[in-house]
Amino acid sequence: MSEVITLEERISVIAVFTLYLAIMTALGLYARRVLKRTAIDKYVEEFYVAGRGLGTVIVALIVAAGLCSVGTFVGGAGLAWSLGMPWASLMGLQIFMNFYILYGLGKKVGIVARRINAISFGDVLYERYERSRLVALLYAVTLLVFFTAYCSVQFVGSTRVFEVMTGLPYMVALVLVGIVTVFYSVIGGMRGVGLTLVIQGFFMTLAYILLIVGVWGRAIADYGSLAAINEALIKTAGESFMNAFRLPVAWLFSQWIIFNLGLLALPHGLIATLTYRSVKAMKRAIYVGVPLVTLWTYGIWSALVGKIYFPKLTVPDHINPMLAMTFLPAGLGGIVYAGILSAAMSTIATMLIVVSSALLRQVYVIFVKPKATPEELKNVSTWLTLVVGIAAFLLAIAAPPALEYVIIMAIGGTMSALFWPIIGLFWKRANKYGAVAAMAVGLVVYGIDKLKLVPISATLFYGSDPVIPGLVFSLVAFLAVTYLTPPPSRRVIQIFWGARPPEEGKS
Amino acid sequence: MRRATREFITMILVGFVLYTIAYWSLLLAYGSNPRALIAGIPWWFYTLIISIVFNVIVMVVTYFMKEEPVDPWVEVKSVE
Repeated sequence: MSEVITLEERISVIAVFTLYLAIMTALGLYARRVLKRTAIDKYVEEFYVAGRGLGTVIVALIVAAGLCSVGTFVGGAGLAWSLGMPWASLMGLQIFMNFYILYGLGKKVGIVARRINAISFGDVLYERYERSRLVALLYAVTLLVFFTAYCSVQFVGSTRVFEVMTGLPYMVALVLVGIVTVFYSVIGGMRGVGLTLVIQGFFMTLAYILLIVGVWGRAIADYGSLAAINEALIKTAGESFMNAFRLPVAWLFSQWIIFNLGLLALPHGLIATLTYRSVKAMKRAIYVGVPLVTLWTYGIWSALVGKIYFPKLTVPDHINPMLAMTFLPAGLGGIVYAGILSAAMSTIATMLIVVSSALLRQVYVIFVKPKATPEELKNVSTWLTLVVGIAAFLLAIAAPPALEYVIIMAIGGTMSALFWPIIGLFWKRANKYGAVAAMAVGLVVYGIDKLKLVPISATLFYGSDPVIPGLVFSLVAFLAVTYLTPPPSRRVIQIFWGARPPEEGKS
Repeated sequence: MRRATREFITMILVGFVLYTIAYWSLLLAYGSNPRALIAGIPWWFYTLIISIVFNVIVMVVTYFMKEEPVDPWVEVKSVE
């Protein structure tokens, strides 16, 4: 099939794109009105965690839409189209993100966050590891490095698709999407992000329902059965395309770890545990989130089937837009684009809030101005969100080539640094020395292996992703240093495991 | 807090350990055979079936999660 798009389809995409951005802007302005009514001493809490008053749908979507980024809609689909079964057979990997984060961590973090008035997940780690400035700094640096890169590929992924679907230069979309996303994050805070998430979750769901119905409907009509579609894929792309173990098992399993347990270490999903109104709302957010993520993730199989119709594409990431424009009636392609845009913007916005909160609490308040007034914090929170947004936008102009690989790198790096210190929330003996060692060793091992300075994963871990050595060495450092140093103070134990508030002055 | 730890362990056991065992058993058994069919359906569709079954299991586990207050020091307040 050709990659030619009709004028009618182009106009529908531009119309949906314009309307969509207008809605996002309006929601940001509405959230601003709520934020303006907030008392100055509550402003920062309202801005970053929406006053801990969010309900079921928004909490579900902070995790689901925040973590299912443009990777699920563009990069992951591109990988399924180009790699075939090695990637397509792993679709179950991320579907329980809401269960992991909310059921596994939600209650504990929710209670502790209220005890210490946390507005970022970094506050929880900082308090757990005895207000260690090094823990705070490593947390903020990890987010700044990996999440800014992660944000930039979201911008690129969503706006490159615009170029394919409209023929207009992608810089037009990049500038507009950049301005609108940063605008509603900066002026509306977490409440603004939450409101837009509801619309974005709707578009993401509708987009994949349309793609699944359109592509699978056509394939079933053409081939008659699932077995025949499988055979057509083999005929089109070869047997090895449909062989899951064409790539090393160690590599496949490390992807399983990154997108499965690794999600527990991603603060833009974990922020949901700081924002929910009640355990009831949190439970319902699991009921809502798990099926949604299952639908979005398995929707990627449409791209696999797309191989039959588009065996050759210049850019694999274009497969979903091409399928939408080819198999859906004119007008509906625009809705698929709104879904792709939603996946990107929801992730960018939650990340901006998370990185900004880390810079405010883990850097500004701890290292720059510990006695900042509420008015100063209000201004700094706005400026930090703006600066992080602009930094990600500028990085996006450099346009990294392979989206999914940058996403894998960002999740892998964050996981190597933060995974064990987060697990330490459930281990009484864990202390700040062990946490600092785990974070530093995880980052260093992951970095030198990823940059191929020392081929650790290739020589010792059977060709796995560098996240595996990063995790293993980080764990060894966490355990060894923890047991060689004193246990944490009574104060920390009281806050994280106790029923009574710690008495001031006692350690 | 003790219950929160139990829930974390349940999450790891059900959501990660059991799910990974079920999913990867299928993957390792059929993944290298592109033409493998189970009951006339390509093997990889059964990864979706396993995921749906675990969707149900996860919902049931969540249903039994205790809905308790998340006030900071509720246990002390209730005693006093």
